[in-house]
Amino acid sequence: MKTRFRATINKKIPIDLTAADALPFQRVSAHHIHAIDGNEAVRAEISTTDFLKKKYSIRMNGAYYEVALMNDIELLIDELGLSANVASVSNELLAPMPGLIVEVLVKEGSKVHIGESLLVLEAMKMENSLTSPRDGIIKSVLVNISDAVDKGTVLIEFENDEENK
Amino acid sequence: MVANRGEIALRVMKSIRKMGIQSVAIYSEADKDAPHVLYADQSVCIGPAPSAQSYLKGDVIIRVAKELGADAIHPGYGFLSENASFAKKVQDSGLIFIGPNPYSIEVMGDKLASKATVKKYNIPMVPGTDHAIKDVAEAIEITKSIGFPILIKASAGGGGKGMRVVQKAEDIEEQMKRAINEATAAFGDGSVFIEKYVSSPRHIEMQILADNEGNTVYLFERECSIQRRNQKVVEEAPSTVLNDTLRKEMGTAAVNVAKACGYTGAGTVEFLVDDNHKFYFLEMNTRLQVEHPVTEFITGLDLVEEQIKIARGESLSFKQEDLNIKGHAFELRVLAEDVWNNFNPDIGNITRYETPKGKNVRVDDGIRQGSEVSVYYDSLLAKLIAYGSNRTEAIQNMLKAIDEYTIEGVETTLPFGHFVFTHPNFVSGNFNTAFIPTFFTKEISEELHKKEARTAARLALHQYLEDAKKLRLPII
Repeated sequence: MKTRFRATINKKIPIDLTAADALPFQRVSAHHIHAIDGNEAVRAEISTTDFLKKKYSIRMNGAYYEVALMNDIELLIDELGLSANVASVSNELLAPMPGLIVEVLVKEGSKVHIGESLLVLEAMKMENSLTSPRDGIIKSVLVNISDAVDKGTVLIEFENDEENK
Repeated sequence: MVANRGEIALRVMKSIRKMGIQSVAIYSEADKDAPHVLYADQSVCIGPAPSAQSYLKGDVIIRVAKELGADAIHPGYGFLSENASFAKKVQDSGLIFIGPNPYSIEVMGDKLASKATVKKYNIPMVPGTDHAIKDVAEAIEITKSIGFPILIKASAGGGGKGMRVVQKAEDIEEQMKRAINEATAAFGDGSVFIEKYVSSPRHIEMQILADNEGNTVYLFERECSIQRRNQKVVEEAPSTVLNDTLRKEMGTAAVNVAKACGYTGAGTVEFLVDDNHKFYFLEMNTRLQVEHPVTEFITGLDLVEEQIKIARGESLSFKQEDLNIKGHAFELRVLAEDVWNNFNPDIGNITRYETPKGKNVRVDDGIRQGSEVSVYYDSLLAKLIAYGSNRTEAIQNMLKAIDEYTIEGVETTLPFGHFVFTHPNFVSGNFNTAFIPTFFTKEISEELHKKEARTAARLALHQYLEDAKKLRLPII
């Protein structure tokens, strides 16, 4: 049986590997490494290594990759855990990026349709209209005009579909 | 006194110190440990984090400058740098404003007024309206003569704010409303006008310097075509498309624009250049530009020093014929943005920070290890500038510097820099403002990111397996 691994990059991108996928490299200095992938030269830097937590950070081509590895057993536990926690339907509107709330177009109880503008978020020097991901009724608006919000902040909650029926 | 923050405040203070002058920093509560505050000879807190309550408080800034006995105020770029009434108040208070006179700022700050002012010098301009438009019906009428796509622009605008491209008549109403709102919020003036949208032009600008005796020179061009959301990311000098004839023509046009408004100090005249190497006047920026270091590398001048000398009444120590382009320089704006995710801004704490070194590399930065990147200010963390005796050498120096530049804790544009400086179209000089939408699409960037992430994972796995062998632990 092949030894399976899962690498999660920057806490976001999962990549499945087997032990055979390991890319051997040479150390050219304390942190700098050189590998050959196919015929391509790969130059990178291993900036931190943590064997016990299986965490390694790698800098390559100006980008920073934090790699968290999981082995077979951990993967199995994770998969069991995942199956017990089915993701709920989107009852929330999250801030897609950090910014400032400049306009709130709905209030508690508003009936909205998919694609309708709910909020205007100023970020990237522009006003960005945040639209409704679904049809439904607004349960609560959790932000006010001129609030500074972080990426991922819950801005608006929707009523559950069941409650609407 | 330097009425700014971040990298530009620090950069301006370095020239001030070099000239044997003392500097005063201003800062908001969020910036009390910022590098510009630590560098200055005196530092004053002027308010809470939001710019409107600190860096934009012109009256407070002037009062503090007077109290501390400052002679002059350097506004940097952004914030109050192109605010004519601030410049006037500074002068009225008896201080020197290091920048042009308020009249030049006012005329050039209003895109419609600037077009009217330079008209008599026969400067080529993009077809469009010469007055503000409020009415959707009128806007639609205009598009009948100039055709789609059009660009709705804020007359008071800059930095991509209040600017919208419209492809079809149905979208005019919504986009005009947005542009007017943005313009009102950002500049306190909701006037917008319409121009024909020149698709995929090059964005090339001319640096000028003018003293108080009417001597005006151009310090050659900067190519600024690599833009996302109408905002520059990579700049270079000189441009690969200008020959000596075109350079002289555009330089002369830029000098005429400056003369048309009685300009003094350092300024920049922006042009669009189309496929046929025809150029059109876009606007004049009445301040020091973010990308001024590339010009400093190729001319050997310190633009901030020149600004200060002009502000204290000295005349230029050189003439146009004394100026030559020497070598090639690039600038990469190091922004706290996630390039793999539509350049969305990122915030957080800088957990590790190491800058590249070397005589052909310059880093203008406003952060250090432990700095907090917040939502309150612009995403520009630093500028990485690389020089070489020719373009190829400068590209190689830039790539090496990107490799040596370590910023951990927030996403930055460094990986995008690697992409640009290894891209065949950029390397060959065959690119325009459509570079990002054409070559760095969501699909391409996602695929590249996944491929690199997989390589990183494979390297990490090798390291892990080696570590496991060394520790003689069984791999389960």
